[in-house]
Amino acid sequence: MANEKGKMLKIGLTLGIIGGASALLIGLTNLVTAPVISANAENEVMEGLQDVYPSLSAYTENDIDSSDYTYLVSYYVAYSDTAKTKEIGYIYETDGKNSYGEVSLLVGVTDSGLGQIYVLTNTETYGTTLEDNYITKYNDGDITINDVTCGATYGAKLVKAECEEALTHYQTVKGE
Amino acid sequence: MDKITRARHHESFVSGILKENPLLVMILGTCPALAITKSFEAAFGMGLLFTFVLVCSNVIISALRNIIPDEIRTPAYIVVIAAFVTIVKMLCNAFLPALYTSLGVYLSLLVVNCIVLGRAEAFAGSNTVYDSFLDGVGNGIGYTWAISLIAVIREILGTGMLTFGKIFTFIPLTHLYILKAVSADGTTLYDYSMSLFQNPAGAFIVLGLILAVMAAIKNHKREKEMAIKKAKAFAMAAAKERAE
Repeated sequence: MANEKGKMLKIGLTLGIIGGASALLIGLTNLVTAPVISANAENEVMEGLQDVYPSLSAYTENDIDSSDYTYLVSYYVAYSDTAKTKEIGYIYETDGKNSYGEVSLLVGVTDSGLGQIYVLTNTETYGTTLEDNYITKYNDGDITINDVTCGATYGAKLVKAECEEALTHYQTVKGE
Repeated sequence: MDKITRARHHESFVSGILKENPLLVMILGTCPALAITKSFEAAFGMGLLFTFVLVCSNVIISALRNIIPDEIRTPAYIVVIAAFVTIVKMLCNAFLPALYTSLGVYLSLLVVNCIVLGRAEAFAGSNTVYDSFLDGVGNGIGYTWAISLIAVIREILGTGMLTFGKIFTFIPLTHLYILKAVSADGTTLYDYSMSLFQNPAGAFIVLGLILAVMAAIKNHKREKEMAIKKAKAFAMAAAKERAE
C-alpha cells in the first residue's frame, strides 16, 4: 500500500515538475516574443491598409458594436491627405472562424461597393490557397460577391459572409 | 574517446540522413511532408523548425530517461515535445511571420509527428544525451533534405520556377525560371508547368517517384553485391576442384 502511494506520488511529482518547467520556458519565450508579435501585427495592419488603398495617407479607427455584427472588429476611415479632409473610403477589419481555421481580412468599401481585400490572418489548412484562388478574384475590380467552388481547402463562405457584413455596415452608416 | 564510442556516435548521426531516412526509408511524417512541400522555402523552413524541435526534445528526454517512470513515459514525452513546439511557434510567429503563415496548422502538428515521438521512444529514451543529440541532428538533416527535394521538384513542375525571398524576406525576392519564361514587361513567353504538382495528388506522385528511384538504386546495389558474392563462391569452388 505504502509502495503504491509512493509510486503515485513519484508519478504525480514527475509530471508536475515536467509540466511546470515547460510552462516556465513557454512563459519566458512569450515575454520575449509577445511585443515582437504585437508590433508585427500592427505593421501588418498598416501595410494592409495601404494595400487596400495605396493612396492612403491617414486614417481614423472606429470601433463597432460587436452585438450587432458577427465578423466586424473595427473600421478605418481612409483619407488621401494627412489633414483628413479627402475621404477615400472605409476599410473594415473582419475576423471569423470556420472548421478549417481562422480568417481575418481588411475589406475596402466605397460608395461603388466592395473594393480591395487584404488577408491579415489565415490559419486554414492551406495557408496560401485562400489568397491565390479566391481573394484575387475580387481584387481585379469585380465587386460582385459570387459563390466559388473551393472544396475543403479554404473557407469561401466565411470570406463572403465577412465581406457582406462590411457592405451592410457601410450602407447603414452612410444611410444615416 | 575509444573507437567503439566514436563509431556509435557516427552511426547515431549518419543513419538518419540516408540509410534510415525518416521520410524516404521509414515512411514517417508523410502528412506534413506532402502538405507543405508546395514551395522550397516553406519546406526548408519546416525542416529547420522540425530539426530544432527534434534535437531539443531528444536531449531533454534522454536527460530525463532515468527519472521518468515507465507508466507515464508517453505523456511525459508529449509534454516535452509540445513545450518545444509551442516555443518554436512563438519564435517563428515573431521573427519569421511569413513562414508561420505558410506552415499554418502543420507547425502545431509537430507535437504528434511520428518521427519526433518515434525517435523519443525508440532512441532518446534509452541512449545517452550526446547520442540522442546526434540522432536528432541526423534525422533532422535527413527529413529536411527529403522534404526539400520533394518541394524543389513540385515547385519546378507545378509553377515552372523556383522562388526565393517570399518567406525568408531577408533574401531579395528572386525567381529562377526553369519551365517558364517571362519577358521584362511581365508577359509570359512560355509556360510548361503543370498545376497538378501543386495539388496533393502531385505530391503523392512526386513522393512515389522518389521512393521508386530509391528502391531501384537499392535493388541494383543488392543485385551487384549478390553477383560479386556468387562470382567469389564460384571462383573458390573452382580453385578447390583444381586443388583436388
